[in-house]
Amino acid sequence: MEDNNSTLHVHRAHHEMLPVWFFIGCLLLFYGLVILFVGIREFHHPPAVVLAGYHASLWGGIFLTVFGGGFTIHFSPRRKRKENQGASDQPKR
Amino acid sequence: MILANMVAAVELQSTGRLISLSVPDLIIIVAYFAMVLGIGFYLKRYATTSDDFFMAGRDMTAWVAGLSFLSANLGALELMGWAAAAYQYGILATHFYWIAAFPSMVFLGLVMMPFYYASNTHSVPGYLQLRYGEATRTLSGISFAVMTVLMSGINMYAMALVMQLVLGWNFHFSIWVSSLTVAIYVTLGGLYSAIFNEVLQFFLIWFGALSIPILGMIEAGGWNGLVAKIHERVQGDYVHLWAPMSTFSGNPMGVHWTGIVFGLGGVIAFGYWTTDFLVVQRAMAAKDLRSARLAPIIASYFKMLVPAIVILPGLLGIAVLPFKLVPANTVGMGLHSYNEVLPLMLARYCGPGLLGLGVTALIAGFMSGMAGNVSAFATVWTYDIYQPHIYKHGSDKHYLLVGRWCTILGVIASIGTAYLVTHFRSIMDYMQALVSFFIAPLGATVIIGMLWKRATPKGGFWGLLAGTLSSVGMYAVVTIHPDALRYVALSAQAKPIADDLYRALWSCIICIVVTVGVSLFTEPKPIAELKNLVMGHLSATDEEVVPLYKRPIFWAVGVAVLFATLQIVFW
Repeated sequence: MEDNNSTLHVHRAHHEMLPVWFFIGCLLLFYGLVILFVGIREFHHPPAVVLAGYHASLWGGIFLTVFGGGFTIHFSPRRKRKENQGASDQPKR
Repeated sequence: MILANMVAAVELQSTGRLISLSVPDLIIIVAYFAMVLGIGFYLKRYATTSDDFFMAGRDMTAWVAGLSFLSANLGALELMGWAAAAYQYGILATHFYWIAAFPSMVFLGLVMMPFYYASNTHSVPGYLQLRYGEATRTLSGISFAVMTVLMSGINMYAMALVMQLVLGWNFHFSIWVSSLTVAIYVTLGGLYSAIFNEVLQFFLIWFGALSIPILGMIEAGGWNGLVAKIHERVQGDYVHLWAPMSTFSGNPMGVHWTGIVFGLGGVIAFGYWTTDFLVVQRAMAAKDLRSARLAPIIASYFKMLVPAIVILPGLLGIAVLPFKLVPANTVGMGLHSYNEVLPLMLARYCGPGLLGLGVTALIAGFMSGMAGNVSAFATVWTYDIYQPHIYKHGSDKHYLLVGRWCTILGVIASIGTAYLVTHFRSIMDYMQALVSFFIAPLGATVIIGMLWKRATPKGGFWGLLAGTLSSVGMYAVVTIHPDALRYVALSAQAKPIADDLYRALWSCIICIVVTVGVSLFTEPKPIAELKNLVMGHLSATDEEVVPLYKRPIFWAVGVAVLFATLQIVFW
């Protein structure tokens, strides 16, 4: 089937732009580390909240650190540059 | 209504604060402000043309456009208001997330988006101009621009009051810090900035609020424990979606199922999700037609899940809070209103750090809502009012500059509205109603225009006007004579929330009747002028060969199955 999308006004000039996921990853990684630090500290200074024994800050901090770190690494500009470099090094068929 | 109640509660209880922040919480909040400003400065280099600034270069992936589409409607007042509604009405409030979202969002993706996208317009009023002519565009554009900027101001006012209550922050500090931040990052990056921050807000809201349902369900003893505790504490059916809706008096909301299905799901939801430019703009910014169609469908999946962080905390509030919350107008010393249920639950379970994340999610919700309003206002003002009526033949750079100034002026107008509301609070009630007047008839006008080629420019204009005026008329009659609600809602037992649903239904029917009637007696547009605007005359399609799992219809069927399953489980 003919691709009629070419008739639409679409331009893609910004592929070098950092993806939003990278920014999200950086912020969540930072939040994860802060909350993880607080969570570890709470073993000695438990907060005055319900179900404090479940250590929500600790688990939340670990989750955010892993999630944010994963996003940061996966969408980092350095990784993308390496991938692009690898693709350009491949012999052309 | 929810916004007005919330503000009333805050004003009545302006002493003290619900939450005290510690150093880690403040670090988290400051990091958020630094990140959104950093994103704005980073994106400035990419917003170099008017298409970049107003349409994000039409370069967004389906996921980014979809999450932004949803987040534009996921503001902090929305979260706090519907958590309060869940405390007040029980699981019935979920109708506003399920039936009020899934059918209309899927319809937008499958049926309407090809017309918006292929017509290559920049806005919903722009589509109306192509389909019906300048008069309909101007009516729709001016009303949208005015309403958007005023709603932004009202939200700003409400945000400052909520921050005063929850955190004890100074009213003026909240208004100026948030509005200056929004002004800077939207002026720099345009829709790019607005979309990036909306996607960021999506994650913050989920991660900031998720601890409440997780820890709450542990405390309540799972779903069965939650239901048992609710039955111990309140009379009536708070845990079934449809079973108590066969009569107006059989449920806490005072609404019949016909009002929910036809008024909410059939008219208000379609009007909002398919024609409110604030949300549709996000899907129109997608990189291709398939992504634009997928965006609202992706959003509908997450919309189905939002009750987990909004409705469930409200239900948990009924079950586990050691005191009863009260209506906003009866709040006194030592009492809390329904509207405080979400911050109260946050403070109940979250210690330092997580509490900061939850508060940041609320701030992000407020700010990205404001940014969404301001960016949509700048687009409609520039393309649908300034360009056709004030300066037709400007260069692209000129319109880009106008868009940037419009953003600043939009923020200034919002600040002005916020301070105006502090002196004339009744404006807020009228503004809420005023916005609702346009939604239902606008939805009908656009959908008729897309599906029926015989609809004429005069039919569209007079239908839109008649639907809007009839809505205003019904509102005025019920406000002056509350007993008239029985005629609008077709029952003497109907409660005020039924008024909104049935008023929308009637105004939509009137709009359809007038549009069809006038169209049958007036001259239609030539078929050649309807290309890419009407069903059967669409030249652009996205039917390229892609695997089944990448097609919008595949994901639409999936969300339909999810919707049906949820209705049966919670029937």
